[in-house]
Amino acid sequence: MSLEKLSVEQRLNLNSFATDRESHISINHKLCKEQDAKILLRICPAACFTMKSGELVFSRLGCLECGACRAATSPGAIEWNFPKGGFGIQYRYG
Amino acid sequence: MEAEFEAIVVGAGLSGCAAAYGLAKHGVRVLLIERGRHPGSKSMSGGLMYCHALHKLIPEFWKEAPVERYVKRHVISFLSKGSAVSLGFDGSRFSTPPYNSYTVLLSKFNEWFGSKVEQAGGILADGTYVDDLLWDGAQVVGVRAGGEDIRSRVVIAADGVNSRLVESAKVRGKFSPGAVALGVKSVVGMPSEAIQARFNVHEEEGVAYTFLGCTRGMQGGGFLYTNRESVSVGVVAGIHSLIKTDAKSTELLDDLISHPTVSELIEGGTPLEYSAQLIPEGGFGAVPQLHRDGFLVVGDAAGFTSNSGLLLRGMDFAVASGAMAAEVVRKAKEFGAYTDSTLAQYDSLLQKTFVIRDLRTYRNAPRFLSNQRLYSTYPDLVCNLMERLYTVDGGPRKNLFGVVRREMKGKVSWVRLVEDLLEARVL
Repeated sequence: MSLEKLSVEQRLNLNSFATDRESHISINHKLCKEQDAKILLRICPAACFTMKSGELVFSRLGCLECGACRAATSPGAIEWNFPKGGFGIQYRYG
Repeated sequence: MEAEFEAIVVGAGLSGCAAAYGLAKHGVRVLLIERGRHPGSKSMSGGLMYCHALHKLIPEFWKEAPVERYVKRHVISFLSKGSAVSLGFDGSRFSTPPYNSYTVLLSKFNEWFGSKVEQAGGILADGTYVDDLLWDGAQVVGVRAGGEDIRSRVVIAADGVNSRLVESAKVRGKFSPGAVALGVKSVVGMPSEAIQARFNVHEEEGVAYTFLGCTRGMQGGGFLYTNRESVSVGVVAGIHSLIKTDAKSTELLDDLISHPTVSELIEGGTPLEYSAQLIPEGGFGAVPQLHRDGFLVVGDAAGFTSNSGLLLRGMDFAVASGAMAAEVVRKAKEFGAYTDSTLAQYDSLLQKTFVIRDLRTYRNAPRFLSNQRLYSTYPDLVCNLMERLYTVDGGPRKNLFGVVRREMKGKVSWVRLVEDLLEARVL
């Protein structure tokens, strides 16, 4: 497997996750402006934000809990939390 | 209501483990709460730890901790498209104890550190998320975790860069985009013999690379550290510059690992893990109020990292601030009160040590480092200059000064260059 050619999905597949049924992050569509959406599509290192039928959606699968989405967007644009205790990314190396 | 614990530490990262260890070792009843399944399962760092702070808390920790390799060679590389100019430093003094720095894989490392806390008598509650602080008027008196109220006389917030507790305690809001950077890293597996041969080091020795010019002109840089049987390679870029570009954060990592200088170092390796983390980079100016009644802030939650451009440090700040918080709590316990004024000793302790001193020394570094020329103009200039210098193709030669002048033309003026060099005195 050539390192350079790994997609984000392939990279995330290397990781260990305990995914919760509930999402720990949600988009507040009233406060999430077009500019915020553009930023979210690019800045998330796990590509958790995507466009589905013209609407920005967040998928908790693969979230690395880094907080870049919250730091980069206008206040309130996303409702940000950590996953519940024991859930989410399980780093083995770190 | 009676406090069940003298102290609760939230977050079993480096700073939290250091704080809890510093308390447990002296017989203070402490609860260490971690939201991950074990200490370390949420920990991620570039992976270079300057040893002095932990050596002070746990002398010769490298003898028992899962460290990777001590760093005997530091290399700074300026990257341009297809070329690189590198400067390396080999320190024989770095190869003897007490070691200057070690590469670490923080998840493994913190699992060990958490077990040290337990051995010292601390109670660990892992897989437990702290929902909020408990208050008695203006005094923090414990936490609410997993639907339960747990009371203590003091709470130490060690919950990292995205700390919810510092926001809850209103000592600061979320970091502004200018005060944080995003780090994205890949751990690449490689047999230890291959690392020794490729990097020209012995079994215990390692190399730390810093790369500039690999971030499409954005404020940031790259790194590569050798572990025992893997290599950590990653990029760091300021959130405010990522906001302004069209590039995806993941593309920066692709750029770095596909650069010939970097790709030949990791060639044939097996990707093992992919990780990301925010890094507080606001420096001295972004440090919040660090205490209030019954409450202290340590590590990344306090914004304790220092970036001087060539040297990015956070782990030694985390350990030292955790250890100092423990010291202050022990004094407050003797004194019998956890008021804001007794806990204010934390400020004076930090000011007496490198934590605040170094932050103050580099207080103007964030301004200098926001200069975009550092991330593309100068790395390009240095690489092109060397290319011209060594290109012999029978065409007419220019003397060195002529080459420099030609390379600078249209990119940066002499005045600018001198100004930038003078500005660099803040580093």
